[in-house]
Amino acid sequence: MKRAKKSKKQEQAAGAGSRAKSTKQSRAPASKPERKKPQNPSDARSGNDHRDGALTMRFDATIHAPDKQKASRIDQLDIDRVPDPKGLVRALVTAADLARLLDQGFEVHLHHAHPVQPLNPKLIEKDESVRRWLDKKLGTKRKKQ
Amino acid sequence: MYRTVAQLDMVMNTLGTDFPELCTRVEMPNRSVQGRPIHALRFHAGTATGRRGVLIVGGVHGRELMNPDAIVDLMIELILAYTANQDITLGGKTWRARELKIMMNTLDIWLLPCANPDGREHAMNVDEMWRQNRRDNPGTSCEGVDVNRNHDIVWGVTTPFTSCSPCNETYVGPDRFSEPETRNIRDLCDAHRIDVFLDVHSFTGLVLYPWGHAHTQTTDPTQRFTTLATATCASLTPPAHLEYMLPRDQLRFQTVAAKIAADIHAVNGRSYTPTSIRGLYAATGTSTDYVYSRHIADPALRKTYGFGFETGLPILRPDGSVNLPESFHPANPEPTKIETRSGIISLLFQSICAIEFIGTTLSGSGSGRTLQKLRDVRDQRLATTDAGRKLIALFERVQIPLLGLILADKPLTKEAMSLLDTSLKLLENEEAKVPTRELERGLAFLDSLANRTTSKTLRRDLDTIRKQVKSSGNKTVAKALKQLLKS
Repeated sequence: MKRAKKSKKQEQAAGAGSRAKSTKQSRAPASKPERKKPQNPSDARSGNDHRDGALTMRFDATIHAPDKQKASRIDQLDIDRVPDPKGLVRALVTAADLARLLDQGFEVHLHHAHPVQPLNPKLIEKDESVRRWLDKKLGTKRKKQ
Repeated sequence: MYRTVAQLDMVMNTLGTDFPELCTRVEMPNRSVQGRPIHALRFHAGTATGRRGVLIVGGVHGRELMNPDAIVDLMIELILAYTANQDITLGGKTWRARELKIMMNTLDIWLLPCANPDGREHAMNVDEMWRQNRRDNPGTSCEGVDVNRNHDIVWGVTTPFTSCSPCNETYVGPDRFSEPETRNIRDLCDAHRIDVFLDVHSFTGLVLYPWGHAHTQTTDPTQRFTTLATATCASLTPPAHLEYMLPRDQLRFQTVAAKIAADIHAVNGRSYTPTSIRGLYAATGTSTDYVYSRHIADPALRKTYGFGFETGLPILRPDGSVNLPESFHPANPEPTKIETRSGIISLLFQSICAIEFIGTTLSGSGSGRTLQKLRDVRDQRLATTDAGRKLIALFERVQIPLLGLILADKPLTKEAMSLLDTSLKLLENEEAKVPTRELERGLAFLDSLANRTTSKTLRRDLDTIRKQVKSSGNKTVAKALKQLLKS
């Protein structure tokens, strides 16, 4: 595990965040109505924003409280939690999430970076192979019906 | 390998077209946010009416790619079991075609493999970790509502896994049932008889049941979600709330989930854990809680037992951390897919009530009122003692194989209907003695069943039942019932 503070990954994350922000602002279509002010501070982060190519990377992270006071707040964090076999507070976070969590005094351990990318095309069936599979499975039975 | 939404639909279309006597492809009332039609395949084999309904849903979260494929594979296997008498063999677990046919003739099965097609397409083509639907959240630069947080059960109450932020992956949406993908599940439950429901997710190897918004208790019926002061976008109030559940329902959830876990384990030895959703994490607005809550929120509605799966175990990297993409959609999903199918079949079998089938569907003698008497004996008496609960478990274990033997023999079917009728009449007057003639008929019936099976386990179970029936001789119905609670 790598601690996020002062780590290379965090620097990259912060860079990704600032890039994302500038991309969003510069590419917003002129005809689009002005965005409302977010209702709560967490609305301001990049979250699952995919428009304008804003989000390029997520991070698999565990969040740790440095003291008891923070520990009592850790379950209230507005982050995208994912299961952790050891019961740690694990989440998929964006660069903006990272900055916010560090600002709030939490320790964030980054484990892996997940670029926003499509599923590996090799894992997607071809139409023709699905047809062949179906014919092979049902071929003779279909005629009997 | 994973199928696209169009490919999944092509398979369902083929099955509905080529096997119209077994299944029908049905378009859901609501299209997805991006306008895609959403389809289910309804299995309705045989001619029986008044069936129990089961709804199996997959693909609610886009990135959980395995489950829609597993459900579509199961459709093919069910068709082949019915039309070609093919057993379904899944690793070390075999489901017999004869029993599968009984199950299909007994139940009304709805398979909705891809409830969130926009999310699946987005995960395949843009962002493999995409979870939600594709709602454009106004006033923000973010997209997506979590379809499994949008149901009307403690909706909008936030938890670490339920958020009011439109930029969070567990965003609840602007209102309960704001999403068409969520409304489809509600509308199916409104329009059709759904007794059992399953929502198939990934991952962590769990068999889930209510409650999700709070831990469960079985002693204080006044503690209900219907009376909570639930402010939207705030935490549960009071925080220590424990949600009530009928002891019988909790027992049923636990028993069924344990059997499912055993039937998954039999496939390739991997262990799934049965637990309440809250045992995993606190979440509100989930489908599993919603379907079960409906009859509590509105007593005029039928009770639906809601279950959930988290299929597949975490796949770890060499450093011991969880490989999230590989856990959500592994390069080889087959081991998990066959476990999932075994788990679903297990649930389908456990959704059958042999007595209800014989009493209502076959003979029509057991009206709702009289069958309710039997349910009361089960829920209000047997379920209250260890001995009684063992008897319930025994009955639930033997009912499907016995139903197979009964339906294979017309005189035996007729005798089963007649004996059920007699039992219902006996329950009308518990002070009456169990007539010797009826007792002997019951014993002869059990002997006939034992003679027709080669299964040692089934014979042993039948012998246990026989002893119970025999010991009720010369007793009143009330005393015979009392004895069942002690033995």
